[in-house]
Amino acid sequence: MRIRYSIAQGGTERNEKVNRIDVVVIDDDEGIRWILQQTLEMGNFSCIAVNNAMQGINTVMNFHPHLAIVDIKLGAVNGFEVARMIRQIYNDVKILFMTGYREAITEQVEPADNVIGVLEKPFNVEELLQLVTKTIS
Amino acid sequence: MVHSTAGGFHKDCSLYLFLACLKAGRILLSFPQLPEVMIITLYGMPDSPGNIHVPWRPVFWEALARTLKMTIAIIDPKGRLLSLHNPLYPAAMHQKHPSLVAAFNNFYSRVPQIFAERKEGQLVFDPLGLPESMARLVDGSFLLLGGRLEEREPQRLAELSERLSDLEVFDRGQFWTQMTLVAPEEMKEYLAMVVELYNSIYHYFSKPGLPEILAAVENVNKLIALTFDPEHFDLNAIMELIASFLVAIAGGGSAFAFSYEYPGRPLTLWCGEHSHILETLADDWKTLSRVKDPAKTFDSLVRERVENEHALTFQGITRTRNGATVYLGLIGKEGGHFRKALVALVKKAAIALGVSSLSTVFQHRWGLVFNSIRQGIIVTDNRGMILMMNQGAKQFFSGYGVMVPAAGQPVTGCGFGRQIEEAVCIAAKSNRSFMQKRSAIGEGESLAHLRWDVVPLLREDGCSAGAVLVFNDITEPVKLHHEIQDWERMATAGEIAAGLAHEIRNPLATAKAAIQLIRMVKDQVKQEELLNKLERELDRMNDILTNFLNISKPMPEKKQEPVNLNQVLQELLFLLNSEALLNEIDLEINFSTGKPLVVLGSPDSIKQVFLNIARNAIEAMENGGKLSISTSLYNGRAQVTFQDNGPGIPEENMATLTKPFFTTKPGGTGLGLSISSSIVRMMGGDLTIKSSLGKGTTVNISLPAYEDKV
Repeated sequence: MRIRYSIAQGGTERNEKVNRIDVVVIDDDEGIRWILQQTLEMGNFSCIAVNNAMQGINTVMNFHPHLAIVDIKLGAVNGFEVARMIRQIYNDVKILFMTGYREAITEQVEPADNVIGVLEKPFNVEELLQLVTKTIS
Repeated sequence: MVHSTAGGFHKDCSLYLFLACLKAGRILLSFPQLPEVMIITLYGMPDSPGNIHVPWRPVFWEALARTLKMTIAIIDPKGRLLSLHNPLYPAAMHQKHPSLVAAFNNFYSRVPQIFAERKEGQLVFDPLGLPESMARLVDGSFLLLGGRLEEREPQRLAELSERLSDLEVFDRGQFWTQMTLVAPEEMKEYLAMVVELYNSIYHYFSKPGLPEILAAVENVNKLIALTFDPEHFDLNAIMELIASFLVAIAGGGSAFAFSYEYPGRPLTLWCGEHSHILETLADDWKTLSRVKDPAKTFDSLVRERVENEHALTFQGITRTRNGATVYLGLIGKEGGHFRKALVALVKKAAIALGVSSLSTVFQHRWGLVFNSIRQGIIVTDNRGMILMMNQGAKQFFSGYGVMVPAAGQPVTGCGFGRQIEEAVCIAAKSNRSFMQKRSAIGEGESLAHLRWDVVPLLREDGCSAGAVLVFNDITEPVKLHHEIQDWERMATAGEIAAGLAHEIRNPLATAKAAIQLIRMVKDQVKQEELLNKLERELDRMNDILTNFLNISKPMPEKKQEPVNLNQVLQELLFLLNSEALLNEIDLEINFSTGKPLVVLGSPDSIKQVFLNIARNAIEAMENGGKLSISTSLYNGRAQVTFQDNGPGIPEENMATLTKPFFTTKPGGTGLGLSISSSIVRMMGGDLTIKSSLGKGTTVNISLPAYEDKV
């Protein structure tokens, strides 16, 4: 089965059966998307970064990633809702939340099996890579 | 009856009218029942019917002095003081100050001599320098009337003060308060009336006939009319005068007058001496107070007792006016003429009673109103001394643990602070008002914030008779306001911090990660790429900060110039059209016609605002729609309206729409509307947003239109 996905993400066609993608990044900030992609690729993880919740859900559905890095503040739909939807699609996708302002998170981060933690901006590249490695392997 | 003098009846009528108006206006909802019956009965022992000295009984002069509020001195032809009548002045002073007594005795002894040198009705000045009117009576004795002072003569007051020092009178305060001040001219008028009354009574005694007694009654009426003045009205004085007059013409002896009110009130002795007859009547009254028509029953009872036991005739007359009833009775040997006096005076007594009842009711009601007002009210006289204060003012003092100042105490030093105290003193002396002032008084725990007015208490002649201070304790609201301001400031600071954290930490995180990656990668091209990114992210941080600072100061040094809004929109049209086309949106523009739509501002800022709002609308209509932009000139304001038929804005977001960093758009900074709103505000305009879910949003910008003065 062949799946077409957003050209805007610079993607190519893939065969789903063979390649489960490693990480999907959902963040509305272009800089964050770019640097996470650079970081993860340097750690030899395959990665797709998208800029909103809808695209994020679609990408997760299509590529069944091992990990989704989700910004909590995503405009109209927040990161927690995105995580809930992802769990309904594939319950084995791990979630790593990301926030620039942990102090302001009033909603409790749900202690679900698939949530591995909250990544605070700014983050440490090596720590991130270690965490991703530990999660995916 | 003749109502000719002093305009007294006019005032009487106007008081009734005033109260009727209050009643009609439902200010006073009901009058408590007025006293129904008032009886003045006079009992005279006709021991010496032909004796002309009978009228000079002290009770008569005492009553006259009280009615006139003047001192009356009777001096015999040899200069001896026969009687001095004024309960306040200067009898009390005499006892305490021997030198004052000596001075007055000297003055009285010289009266016949002074009179021989001057004409009747002329003023003389007593040892205190106060004007006195002087007249010789028919029987050769002298009448001195006065002891009062022209009010608006500060020089006289200074002289009086000096004379009092000379006479070793030092407790001046009481002296001043006992003064009822009147112009010398007025005093002469009074004297003429008193002399006329005296002479008419005298004539009645020498020739007891109907015309003579009616002339005397008319003179009594003239004097009573003087007291029908809201300021000087005194029912007791009038009753005493009437009773004393009747006692005098009844022939004196053990005559007395008393009154009572129906129902169930005790007898009041107005004038004359107690006797066993009065005591009997008082007991009779107690037993009668519950019968159906007590006045009539009382009448027959008195008639029976007096006529059988004392062989005297009794006459009684009842008169009702405005719900008040007076019963006037007279006992004596000669009935015919007294009856005429009774008929005449009972009318006057009824009027006086009615006025007194109404004014009592009015004062009671007014007192209720005065005390129900939550504001503090303090009334002072023209020296700034407190005359009265309401409950609100008392509560204010006790609320701050300050002793409530007493009436008669000066406002200065009450703790109102210099500003209020000075205002009171100025208003009390001039006709200056102080409106809507605010002061903070006290300190620390007892710091109070007051909003206050001080107005002069103006008399009819336009002079200030005192001041009225009305104040509102706004301490709590002020404190609350400060607290709310603090909370708002903290809340806004918090919001801004949160917004800044979100915005800044993204580029910060990117930059930090970029630096770490630069260290990790060996590839120089990759390093270069990361460095470029790093620089861009640092620029972004700077942009965010610049934007943020612009919220509070959106137009730093931009020149203000007349800007045609239609022209600005026209310039934007090309850009907006292409964006609308891309998003499948119909763009409709309605420009105002007629007068050019010009405002004062910076074209760039205005463009920024318009573009911002139009883009918001376009972006909101994800599935296409219609955006109407219209301009108009209304009421001196230039109006620009952006109306879309997008999804609308949820109610919960409305309040935060223009706050910095509020956004629902992915990638939005949340600064657009916030900046637009402050630009509009800086130009003296308003930006209003109305929205209904599912129907769309309307943004209206209203700016003051610019009028070219040239």
